[in-house]
Formats: sequence, structure tokens, C-alpha cells
Amino acid sequence: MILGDSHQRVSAWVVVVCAILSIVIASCSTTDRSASQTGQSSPTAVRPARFRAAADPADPPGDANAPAAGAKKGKELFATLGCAGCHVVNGQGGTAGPDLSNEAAKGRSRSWLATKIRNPKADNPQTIMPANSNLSDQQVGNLVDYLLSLTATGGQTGTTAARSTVGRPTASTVSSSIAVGGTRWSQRCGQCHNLRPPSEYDDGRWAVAMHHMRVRVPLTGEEQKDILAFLQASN
Amino acid sequence: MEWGKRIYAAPGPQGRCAAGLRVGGSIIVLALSVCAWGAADPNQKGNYVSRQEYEALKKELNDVKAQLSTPGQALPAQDQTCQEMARTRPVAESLGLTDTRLLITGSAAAGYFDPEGQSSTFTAEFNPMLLWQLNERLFFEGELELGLEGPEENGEGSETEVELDLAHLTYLLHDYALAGAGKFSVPFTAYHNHLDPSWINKLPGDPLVYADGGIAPDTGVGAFVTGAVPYRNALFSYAVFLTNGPALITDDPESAGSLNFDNFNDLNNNKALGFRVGFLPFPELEVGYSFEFSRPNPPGFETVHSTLHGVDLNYVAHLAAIKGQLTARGAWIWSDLSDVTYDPTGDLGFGPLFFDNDRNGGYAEVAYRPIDVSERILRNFELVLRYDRLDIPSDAPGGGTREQWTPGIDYWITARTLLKVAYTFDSSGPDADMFALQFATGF
Repeated sequence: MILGDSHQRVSAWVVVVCAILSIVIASCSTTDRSASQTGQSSPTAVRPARFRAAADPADPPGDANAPAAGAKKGKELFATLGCAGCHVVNGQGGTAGPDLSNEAAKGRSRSWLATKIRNPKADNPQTIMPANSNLSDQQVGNLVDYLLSLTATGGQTGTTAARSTVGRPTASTVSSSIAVGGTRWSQRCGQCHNLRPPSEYDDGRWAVAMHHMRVRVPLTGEEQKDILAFLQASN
Repeated sequence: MEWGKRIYAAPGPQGRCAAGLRVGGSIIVLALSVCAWGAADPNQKGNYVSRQEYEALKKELNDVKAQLSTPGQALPAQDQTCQEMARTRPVAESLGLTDTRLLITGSAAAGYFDPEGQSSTFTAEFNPMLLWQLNERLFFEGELELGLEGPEENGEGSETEVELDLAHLTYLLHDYALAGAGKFSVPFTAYHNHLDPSWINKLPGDPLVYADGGIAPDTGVGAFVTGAVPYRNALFSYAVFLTNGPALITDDPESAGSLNFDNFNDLNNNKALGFRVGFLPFPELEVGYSFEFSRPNPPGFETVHSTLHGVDLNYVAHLAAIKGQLTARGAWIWSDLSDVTYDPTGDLGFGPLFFDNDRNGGYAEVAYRPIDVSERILRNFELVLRYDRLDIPSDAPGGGTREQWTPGIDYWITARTLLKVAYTFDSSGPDADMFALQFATGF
């Protein structure tokens, strides 16, 4: 049977719609599977924050007697690890990842945050956030202390942390080339395209890729070095 | 019951024979087993080691442990490798080989395009890119464009299209400047330099002003200097380029008066000179202004001056208020060519043709991706809408105003792989409307 143009067009549309539905269904099934895992008691499962507000045996150690001290150490770690490259805290930082100024108010538990820091892909396989499996329990605990000490209105609980102006990072707002590089990575690279996960390239390949981007964008020499430092520290 | 009968029943002649065979077989198997045990490794005396062997192994293990735990003391083989590396490294450094790094990257796409008034077709393209860092300052970048060229109306002429898209060498002068030469992406507005790879472009096709028949240059052969300079919290970028320039089409009745930007030879010993300056008042926003001047007339034709201007904008922000990322991009380009008469003698069959050769065009694109919503499936979708416009003088071949509206939906499978679905409404008429589906990836 010979089909007319209209039949051919309908057939083509059916093929296209089926292809799209297949991809969506495949994604949904992955999502559903992950979602169903969140309700199980698997040690790697991450349950919704509202169900995990209470203390958990798996909670990372913090400075229970001196949470402010732990938060202070966590703030330093947050800067030196380059977390600000992707995360806004109190209006400052990169935008590749979610704003972390309000984690306590969102009901995040210590274990949820610790899992997210150590293995970000546990609940989101597509995330570009690098794993931090090399951090000690104490360091993760300090980072959690810091994140939970932040308030929704900006600043840290019990501190006088100022809300900085949004803009290009300066030496006074970030403490290392890696941290500055992280911010610049999310801002400059993210201006044109999605960010390639740092783990995709080794140090040498990132050096070549950043040289290429310096030719294309263009970047200053300092920006190139900072972003490269961040990528090589995160891959 | 049957089993018991067989065991306790008196055997007949055949039964006796079978029993004999079973006994004989058992003896043979037993003998073979004994022989195999005897033929085993004479050094392996059972599953046990002697006290002497145990002590020797223990001593050997302790020696290895001590050697590994002593700082600076390497195993003999490791030490030999280190010595070899120390010996060869100066030689490699003197040859400039230690900093040489190669990276193959690029993009690929497969598409399905269904114009209302024409046959639908599948397409494929592949753009491998070779990046070669010769040392800290020297850098080579080459890119091929491999595509499929459709057939002529008679059905003949389909072929694989291979083009040298980029091939240039750059040298870092200092933190704020680099110079390059070769075939490069002309920095006239930001689109071709930043946004046109298929995995970055959010819709299946290029905007009208940058597509075939557009009014903006894409690549050129020549030299350029580019860089960026910070100023307080802002950043300025710049690029200056000198190329062989475009060619004015004078003898084609369907496109006379337009510029061919795929021309790579200097037609009249006059180079095209241009620049772009960009300004980033804050990291999320970049605005730019571009300019190019050239003399594109072919030899023997009246002198023609071409002036191109372009402005572009790129804004990408992660906004908590809308739980996602908002992208707004656009450009407007206007060109002015000297007003001359084409085919003045009428020998080519379409002249004399005279018109005011000012051409304008641009695009505006907005996209929204809800990356902050809790449903992961929604986070992977991105909604896109683009408006295109191209104004060509009404007296010129193919003249008139053309507008397009293209809504689309992208699904991001990974950070650099996406599926795009779009439908273009074209002001040229319903037959120009087109459905497009494209699967694109950057690698």
C-alpha cells in the first residue's frame, strides 16, 4: 500500500513522538527508581530532608560542645576547597550549584548534608559536583556545622558575617586561587554552555582545554590560571 | 522399591557382565588417581609448608614492609625507573617536548528536518577539533566540519562535505593579549566564537543572520589579536582582526549584491579590518559592539565599500525567584554596501540592476531551565524561544523582510548532550514552516 504525503508526515511524527516518549519514560524510570530508593533503609539512600531532621546515628561528628568553632573551621574549608565556585552563600559565590545560604531552614539533617558533600551523585547521578571522599569525618562535620549555622537572612548565626556585593571575586572575598577559580569557572564558562564535570579530564587535558578557552572567550591570564587551578584540584 | 529390587535381585549373565565392568572401571579410575597424585609437583608436599619455609616467607615480607615504610627508599625496580626519568627529562625539556599536550574534542549531531513545503530529511554532522598545546605560550587549534550535502533537484550530487573550519596558531603575549594567525572564527559579534556548536546552540539551526545567506562573517583567513582587561569589578574584552575579507556576488541573478563570507582569497589586495569590544559589568552579562570594513568587489568591477556593524548581548543568570536559570541572548547587525549597478550592460541577463544595498537583521532568544525544582525530570528540560529577522532591500534579488518565530524544548541528557525539538513559523508562508529534531553532543 502506497502512503500519501499526509500519511508519511503522520508516520514521521509518530516516530518522533515515540522517540521522545521513550527517552522521557527512561528518565522517569531512573527517577522513580532513585525516588523509591530514598524511602528505603539502604545505607546509601538519601531520604527527603523533612524525614531526616532528627539526629541520625550516621551523623558526622561536629564540635558538639563548640558548634561555633566547628562552623568557623567549616567556613575556612568552604573557601579553600573552592565550594564558593559553584555555590552562593549570603549572596556571594558561583551559580553553577544551588544556593546554600538556607540549608538549616530547609530542614537538612547532618547526615543528608554529609552524604551530599562526600558523594553528591548518591541522589543525583547527573550532578557535576565532584566527590569529596578524601575529606575526614571531622572536616565533613565542620562543613556541615558551617552550612547549618547559616541563616535565611544572610550571615552566620551568632556572627557578624557581612553580605558582600555581587561581582567579580577579589582577594578579600575568597581566600585562594582555587576558590576564585571555582567562582570564575561557573561564571565565565557557564555564560555560554553547561559546565563539563571536572572529573572528565585529567590535569593535562584541562590545561589544553583552558588554553583553548583563553583563545575563544577571551580570558585574562589570571582567570585562566585560577580556573585551571580549580579544575585540577577538583578532577 | 525398584531401586531395592535391583540391588537385591540375583544377577543374570548380562548383569554379571555389567557388574564386572563397573568394578573394572572403578579400579582403573582409582589407579589413574593414584598416578596423577604421584605425578604432581614434587615440590608441593601437600597443603602445608614447613616451619623453615614459613619463617623465610615471613622474613621476606617484613623486609618489603620495612623498605616501603622508609621515606625516600624505593624498590630496586622503582629506583631504576626514577633514575631513567631523571636522565631523560633534561633531554626532553631541551627539545621542548615536556609541555606538549594534545586534546581531541568537538561536537556531533544528528537531525531530522521536515519543512512543510519540501521533503523531510535526516542529517548528520561531525566536527572533530584538535587542540595542541605546543608549550605554555604556543597553541594550535584545528577543526574539521564533516557534513552531508543534499542532492540536486535531479537527485544527483549527494556527497559527504568536508571543510577545514579552523586552523590557526596562537601565541600568548602576556596576561591581557594573545596573537594568532590562520583560519579562525571571526570575532564579529559573539555568536560564531561562543555559541554556535551544536551542543551549545539551544535550537537545531543557526539564526537567520548567521545562516547561509546571512549578513555576518563566520570564519576568515588572516591574523588577529585578542584579550581581556579587568577594570575594578568589570571586565573588558577586545579583538582586532585582519582577514582576506568577503566577496561581493555580482554575477548571480539570485544573489547579486550579497556578500559571500566563505571566500578565503583576497580578490583585490584590500583586506577586511574589524574589531569587537565586549563589556562585562558583572559576570552574568556581556554586551559587545563589532565593526568590519572591507572592499569586497571582484577585479574589474566597480569599487564597493562594505561596512558591517553589530551589537550583541548575552545574559545568563541563576535566579532563585524563578527556581532556575534564565538565558537571554541576542544580536543586531546592520550592513551598508556602496550602491552600484549590477550587470550594467545586461550581458548576464538580469541587469541593469540598481538598489540601495543596506541590509539588517538579528535575533533574540530566551531560554528557561528550572534547575532548582525538586523533580529531577523537570530539571533536565529547557524551554527556548527565538525570534529571527532579516531585512534585504526589496529591489535586490531575494529581497524583502523575513521573520521567524521558533519555540523549542530541549532535554538535557547529560551536561553536554541534549535532544532538541523545535518548530519554526516563517513569515515567508506556511510552506516555509519547519519541524526540526536534533540530537547533539559535545565530546
